[in-house]
Parts: sequence; structure tokens; C-alpha cells
Amino acid sequence: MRTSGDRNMDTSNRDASPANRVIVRYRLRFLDRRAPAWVGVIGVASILAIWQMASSFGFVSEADLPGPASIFQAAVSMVQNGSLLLNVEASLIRIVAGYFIGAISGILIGLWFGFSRITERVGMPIANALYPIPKLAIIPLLILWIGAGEMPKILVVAAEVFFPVLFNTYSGVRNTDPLLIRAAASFGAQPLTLIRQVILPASLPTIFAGLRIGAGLSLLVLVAAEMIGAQHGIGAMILTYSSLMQTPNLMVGVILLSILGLAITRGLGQIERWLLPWKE
Amino acid sequence: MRLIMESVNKTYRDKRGQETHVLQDIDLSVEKDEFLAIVGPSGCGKSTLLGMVAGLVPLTSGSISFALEDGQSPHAPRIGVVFQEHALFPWRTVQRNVEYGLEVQRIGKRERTERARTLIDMVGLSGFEQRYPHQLSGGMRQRVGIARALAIEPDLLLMDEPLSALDAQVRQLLQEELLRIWEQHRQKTLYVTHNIAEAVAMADRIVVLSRRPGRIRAVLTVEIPRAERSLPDRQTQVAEYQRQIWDLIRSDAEQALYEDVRG
Repeated sequence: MRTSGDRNMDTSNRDASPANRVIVRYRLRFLDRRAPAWVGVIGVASILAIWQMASSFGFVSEADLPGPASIFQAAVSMVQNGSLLLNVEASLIRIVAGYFIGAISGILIGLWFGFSRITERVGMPIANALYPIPKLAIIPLLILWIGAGEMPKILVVAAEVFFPVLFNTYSGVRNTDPLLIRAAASFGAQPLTLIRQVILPASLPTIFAGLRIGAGLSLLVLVAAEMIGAQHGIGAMILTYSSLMQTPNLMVGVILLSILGLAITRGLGQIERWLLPWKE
Repeated sequence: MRLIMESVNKTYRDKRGQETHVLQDIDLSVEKDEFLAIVGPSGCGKSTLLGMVAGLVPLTSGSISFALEDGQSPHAPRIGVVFQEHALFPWRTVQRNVEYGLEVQRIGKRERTERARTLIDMVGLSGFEQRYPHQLSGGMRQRVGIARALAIEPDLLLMDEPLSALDAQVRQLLQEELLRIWEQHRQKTLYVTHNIAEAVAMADRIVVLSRRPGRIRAVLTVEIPRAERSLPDRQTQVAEYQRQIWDLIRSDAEQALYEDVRG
């Protein structure tokens, strides 16, 4: 008698085994984490439902934690009166500009550190010393230098992105598989060709890891900078609604940040798949 | 305790829902004191079969069991596994790695130390007890793996390509050593390999598997006494076994060359 079960079933046919047998059983069932795909959807939906009920029945006050419905309403009205777009636009410009400045300079200087021993000797201690400074602390200095306005916020985002990208680019270059470098050199590749054709592609995965770390940090420092001093922007918006006690609108801002963060991560992942089809 | 596999089947399903029949209707037993080798091309499911015997891979259908001898009280069979990539715990010293299985069995500290010492000595690693795996050569690590598996005095010894990760010279030496150790213990052994020469040099019986689905294509009994298999005047006979097995595997191995590139 044999149980013709579905895959992965331990069908050591218990009933048919004679008494003088010890059956080998599958020992790792506790690690088989199997769950159908719909569990996720249902799970999230029911959490939202419980949340909504908690606030509809007044278990949680609307002022503390508004339910999904009133947050949605707030979002709709903010879209309609145009304030949402205004704030998102302000934030996007800052984060995109800052990110690009930080990422590009991080990659360039990281490459330079990676190739030039002198630059590395001089630059690394400086970079190591500057890196631990919380970048928000330099905003007052930046304002002193270039005045208030958009530039300090953009530059502080850039500074935050710069370091992880710099360090990762550097280590990507330094850790290029020497075997690949030897392979290229054996075919007579000249230094510049070798850098372009071997060291750069080999470092790209590490560089991208740095870009991803930078993306998360940039959002953090952007919001903080906007809360310190900005008219518009998601950070400023959250602060304003908080002082007005308009919790649903505040929550819209928080959720926007989640969406923005997800979009950035997804976008980077997509670019990575385009640029690095050979990975994995 | 004999090991008995009855109508063992294994089917994998990938993310796209594609089913692969890895093993089909495997009926096989390993007798007392027997060294059984399973040989087959890559993708024939030989390691999967070994994993199922060890209880590390679930069966799709069929059963694997140990038959008790008369008067033997049923106990969970102890199974010692030697893995291809040694699978030593990097944070444990040689001594503590060899003791591991005994620890799981809650054997007292003194006995553990003693038994591990004996085994370490037997695999020729005395003096290396306090080293960590990363401080050892590949061949030494695999010796530790063998000592760890034998320390529990297993009812069945499973070896999954234990020599495949080693270079040719070390492999040859360790193979001889493995045979010497095996002669001392004479423990029923299931040995998985893709190396035909290795199987012919070591095994009492050789099971040849086909691939996709893995089925038993042939079972050969090596009639040359183990000790004589390295003697010059036995080489024609040894070569004949090897040729016979290769003839059974060849076309499957050729297929595997192309099919293994998937996704």
C-alpha cells in the first residue's frame, strides 16, 4: 500500500510497514516553509480590515491612528487641492539632484581611490574621518557658505549618498578577481582597456550595492533636512500637519515616503537587471 | 539492520510548475557489512537518493526503512553522513567537530572526548585536535568529516562524493585510507560517486543509475577481492568493470552535458 501523495510528502507508508522495521523519516519538515501565494494578499487585507474596524468602532482614536478610509480620504483631498503634488515635486527634485551628485562623485572618487595608491593614502583617512559625521550636522555650515535655499538640502543628500558609494566603488575595484585581470592581460589588454573591459564591469555589482545603501540613506536625510527648514517637501508637510493635529494628512505623508522608498529600490533593481544581465 | 528502499520515487516541481521525475521506482537494499556504491551521470538523482536515506530530503512516494534483526529492539538508526564539501562547522575545532554527533546523542563529556580522540587518531590527525577547519587542507578536512561520521558508530555510513572536491593525488591517498578505515569498521556503507574508478576500487556492489528519470540500470557485483584490486595482474579485470559501467552511463552523461544548462 503506497500513498501516492503530492510532492514533498513523506509517504513512508506507515501502515504497511511490518513491526520489525524502522522507517526513515524526513527530518527537516520544520524548515519547509510552504505557504500558498494568496496567504499574503488575504493576510494584508485582513490586517487592514482589523485596523479599519479598530478605528471605526473607536478602539483607537482618529487623532492618534486614523483608519485606512480616512487616510485615503485625506489623500484624495490633498491630490485635489494640489498640495500633495507640490510637496512631492519639491522632495523629488531635491532627492534626485542630491542623489545624482552624490552617486556620480562617489563613483568617480571611488575609482580614483581604487586605482591610485597616492590618492588612496591621502584620501582614505580623510574619507574615514568625514564619514561618521552625521550629515545633518553640516547643514548650518552649508547655509553659512552658500546661503539658505535648495542647495544646502541637495548637498546634504549628496553627502549622505557619497560615502557608501565611494567605499563600495573602491572595494569593488580593489576586489576584482585577479584571475580575470590576468586573463585579460594575457590577451594583451592595455591598462585603460583592461580597466574599462574588466575592472569596471567586475566592480559594478559592488557599486550597485553602494547605490542601494545610498538610496535608503538619502530618503532619511531628505526628510530630516526638510523638517529642519523647508517650505515644501514631504518632510515639511508632515511637520505642518502634525502641528495642525491633522493626523490623516500626516499619515498620507508617511505612506508617501514608504511608496517613494519602494519606488527607488524597485527602480534601482530594474536598472541593475538591465546593466548586469550576467549577474546570478 | 538492513537498509531497504522500496519503490522510491522523487519528483521535483520548479517555480513554473514544471515537474522533473528525478528518481523512479528505486528498489534496493544494503546488506550487513556491505559497501554499496551508486554511480551515475550528473543529474541522475544519486545524491537525492542518499539525502532521502539520511532523512534530509522528503520522498515523493515509496519507503525507506531499516529491517531489524531478530531480537533487536527498535531504535532510531544512527546514520553517519560524509558530505562532499566536508560541511564541518567552521566555529568548532577538529575535536569539537568530531564530538558533534555524540553531543547530539547526549553522550557524556569524558566518553565523547575519548571516542573523538580515537577517531581523530585513526584518520591520522593526532596533534590537530585544537585546529579550526580553515587551518586544515582539503584532505584533512575530509578526514575530519569521516571521523565525525564514524564517531557515532553509525548503523549506516553514507558518503556523498566524499573525494570529489579533492585534487587527484590527495584523492588517491584518501581513497586508500578510506578503504583501510572501512576494513577496520566494516560498516554497511552507501557511497555515491560519479567516479567509476572509485566505485570499482571500493565497492562490493555497484548500482548504475540512468538519468531523468533516475532508474536502476544495472547492479554489478565486483568479484575481485578488495585487497587485490590495486594489484597489477588484476588491472585487466578492473578495467573491464570500468568499461562495462561506462558503457551503461555514456549516453546519459553526454545528454547531461547539454541539459544541465538550465535557465
